[in-house]
Amino acid sequence: MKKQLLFILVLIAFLFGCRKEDEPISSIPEGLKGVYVVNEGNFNKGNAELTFYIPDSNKVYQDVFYTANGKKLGDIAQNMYIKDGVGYIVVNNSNKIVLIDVKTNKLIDTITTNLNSPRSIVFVNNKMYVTNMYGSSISVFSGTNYKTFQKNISVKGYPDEMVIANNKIYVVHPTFDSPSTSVSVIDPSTDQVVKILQVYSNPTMIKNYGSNIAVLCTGEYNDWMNPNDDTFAKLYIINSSSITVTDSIFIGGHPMDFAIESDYAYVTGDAAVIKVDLKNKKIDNANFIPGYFYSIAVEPINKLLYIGDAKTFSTQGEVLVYTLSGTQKTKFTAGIIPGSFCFNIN
Amino acid sequence: MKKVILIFLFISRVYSENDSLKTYKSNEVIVSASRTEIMMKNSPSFITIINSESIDKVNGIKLSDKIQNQPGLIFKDYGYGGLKTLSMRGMSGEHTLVMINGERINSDQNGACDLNNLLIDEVERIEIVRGGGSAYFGSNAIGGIINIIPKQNFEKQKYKLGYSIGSYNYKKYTAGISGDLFNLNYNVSFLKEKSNNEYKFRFSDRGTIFEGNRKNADFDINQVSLSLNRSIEKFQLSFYGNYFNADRGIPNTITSGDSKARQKDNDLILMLQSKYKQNNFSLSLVPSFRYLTYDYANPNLTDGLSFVHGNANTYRYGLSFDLNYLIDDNISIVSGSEFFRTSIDCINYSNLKKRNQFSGFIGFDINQEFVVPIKIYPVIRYDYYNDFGGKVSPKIGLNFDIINSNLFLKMNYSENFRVPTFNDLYWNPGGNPDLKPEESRTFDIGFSIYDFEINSFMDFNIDVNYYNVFTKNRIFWVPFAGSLWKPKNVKNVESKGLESFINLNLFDKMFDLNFSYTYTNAVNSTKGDINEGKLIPFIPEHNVSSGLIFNYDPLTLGFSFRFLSSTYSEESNNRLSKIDYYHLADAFIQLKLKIYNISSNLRLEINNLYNSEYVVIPYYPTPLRDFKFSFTINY
Repeated sequence: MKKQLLFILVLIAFLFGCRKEDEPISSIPEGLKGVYVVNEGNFNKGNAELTFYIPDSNKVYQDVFYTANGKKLGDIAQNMYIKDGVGYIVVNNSNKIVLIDVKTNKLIDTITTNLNSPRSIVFVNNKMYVTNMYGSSISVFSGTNYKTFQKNISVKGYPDEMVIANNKIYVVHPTFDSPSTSVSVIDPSTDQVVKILQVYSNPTMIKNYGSNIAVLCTGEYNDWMNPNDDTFAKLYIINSSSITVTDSIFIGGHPMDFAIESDYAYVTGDAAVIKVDLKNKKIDNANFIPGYFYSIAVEPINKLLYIGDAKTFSTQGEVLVYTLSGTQKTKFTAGIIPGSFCFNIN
Repeated sequence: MKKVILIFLFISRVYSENDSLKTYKSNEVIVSASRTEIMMKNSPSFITIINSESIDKVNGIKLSDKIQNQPGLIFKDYGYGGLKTLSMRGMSGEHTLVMINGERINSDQNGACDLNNLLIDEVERIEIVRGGGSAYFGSNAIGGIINIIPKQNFEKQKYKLGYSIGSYNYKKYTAGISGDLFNLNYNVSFLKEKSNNEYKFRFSDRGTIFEGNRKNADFDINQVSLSLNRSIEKFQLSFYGNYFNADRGIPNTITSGDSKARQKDNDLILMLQSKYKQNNFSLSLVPSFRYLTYDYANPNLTDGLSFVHGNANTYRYGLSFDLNYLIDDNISIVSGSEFFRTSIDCINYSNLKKRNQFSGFIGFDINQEFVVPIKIYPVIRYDYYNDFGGKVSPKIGLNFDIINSNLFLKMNYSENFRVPTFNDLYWNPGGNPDLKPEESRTFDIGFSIYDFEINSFMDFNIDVNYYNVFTKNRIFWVPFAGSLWKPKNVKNVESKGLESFINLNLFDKMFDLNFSYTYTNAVNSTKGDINEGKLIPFIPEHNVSSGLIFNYDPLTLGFSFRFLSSTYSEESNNRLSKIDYYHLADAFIQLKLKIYNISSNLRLEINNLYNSEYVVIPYYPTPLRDFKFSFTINY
């Protein structure tokens, strides 16, 4: 009696539960040059993905990782870097670095150990350096596919972006509770912190500026209800031969990202992309491209601005492509929260 | 062995003769439908009453366990021991009003109630009312109401002891004493539940199998409650106090590594109820106090110096006054007012935040005869909040007794609201003091058949109901500037559906069979929104639940089953965000023995009987099959 009842109930369940099969996915052509858009996805939802855009044919492919591998990429994809034909995708909240063959997008390997909330990578002296946001450290890897863990370098706060200039690693490490204002300089030959430079509250982003370095400090809200105690964004220039802070430029607001091409910085501000003249240390155009954007990068060959619009942050975002003179060239749909770009075009 | 059971059966039949007196479902009393005691059959709403007898006929001890198989209830479940909120009629957790004895317990900080943090012990009944109820109870009563009514009158001089063990080092201890002291009826009960909760899980996520043991989901919960009750002629005074304390691990998504986060909760509720009842009127005055605190620490997020830390203390003082007046046999007045003062001291607010709330309501219970007997329940309520002003909530409910107290037609129209939470208003950074309340209007219509006797061995109950809920100005946190998010009144949601329920009793409740099916269609109806027309995440369209209870004293066997169709975790209904449908079953076997004055209860519970692999929230795994064995004695 009971068994029969169970059977009937299960049967009913299956009647209601008939699933529609997922729609077929068109495969992605192999070996083409193009732009990877790294879509962060939502925190704890495991919906990070790659979008691949081919400028020559103006074609866009979504869910590239899932299409090539039949698996999900993970939770919060932060950045992607290409080194010797291998794509290194930093998946922050999954605590892993996913390695793919950039010809086929097939999974090669995954690095899962000695990482604690990884954020970004630099390669130098046959070593891979990874910032551990929640580990207050930088993990150093070497060997095949950089899988061999070597050591940890401690820095304060939440280490985030890094750049290499004059054979030194520069790392920003803001804190959220008590604002840190420092940038650490690491010598990769000894893997020691050789200098700590003081900039301004919340240094969250760092880019190469010619042979020098630019740091974007986003400022603080302090008490949210009190607009009078805010500090606003500033851009700092560090000279890489003397390892000293040389200049600062007031930007205003609390920007999200920035990119540099020749003597101009492009900062995604509160209401527009702000064009900053780094040579003359002034804002060139505060309303260069109107809108509120999440990410920005310069494509190095054709010198085009790729700008990520996260829209509602819970649906497909959009990427806008602009020339350096501010004319829109094209736009295409991306995944959830297009947070960074990786150019596979040279 | 067989002989032993037969002897037990015999003993118990002798001692439980009184239990077989016929009880009529339609005559069960409910207070959460119209804020005054009415019989279930007279209510205009689609309701479920889980009485003290049926509470034991379900697995588990948490409120979420006790109601999870009831028609149309959908849970957002972060895994056993984790957060579990209840959504009704396609709404969210903060649109279900949860009360103890009519006293709201939804968090003032986030609007929802964690049903895994509510242990059910010494409860008279749990009332579930589907549909809007702001006109009687104020904010949050949009999808429905859950009201837990604690037991008030206890048997004279009784001792209770219980012990349970289960999978994953699960242990539960219960103890209680009740009696009469100087004409004062009292009960004190204590409950402790703990487990390392390293439950086995396994699920597949599009090609990747995740399996293992859950880490950092342990819990250690203690609860003490005290009830005092004294009646002097027409005057009744009762006190209810409950203290809850929990120390637990807060697990992470399975993809983001082992968490070390911990949370400590303390929750104290004190209520003093004084009632005066005359022939044609009753008065009730309830002063109440609640102190709620949590402390969260996550050493994973260390900056080398300190932990990421969350902490808040909520203090709430309340005073409710109810006056019911019977004008004549056909009309009575239900009225009252409430005052609440809430203050929250939270690490994420810039200073101590306070809210004062005043409400008044008046309604009528009208009996009319127009072809058939009709009951009409019009009511209107005004709520004033010092932080954003006033809100009017009207409601009208109708109940037509179509055939001889067996078949009833019911319908309701109501306007309901939900106030912005303290976090919405004051979170630093992002809080938006300019938020307006969410607004909703609900219409439902349905019929109920109660206690329909086919023959003396068989009777059944049926409810079928259609509803439509439209909510506007829904509060969502949206990107604002920089990396900052801010809550805004941005979305509209339309939800409609069908609820159906059938209950069949055979051989004087020897077999009790339930089956329910609900269809829910909750859709983003914000004009021009990028996700307009898309289904609301985590709300399944189809939900089937059923249960079978076999009872032949001293033996009770229970089996329950539920099925939930697939949902999406993303508002865009992206195909990769689809969460598979699942079905699972629970079962128990219970033996109640009574020898002289000692009654004992042996019970084995099996959860997730056939090892269903499922998740409700992506990457928060749920347990595979587990067992619990308990032994209780009452003296």
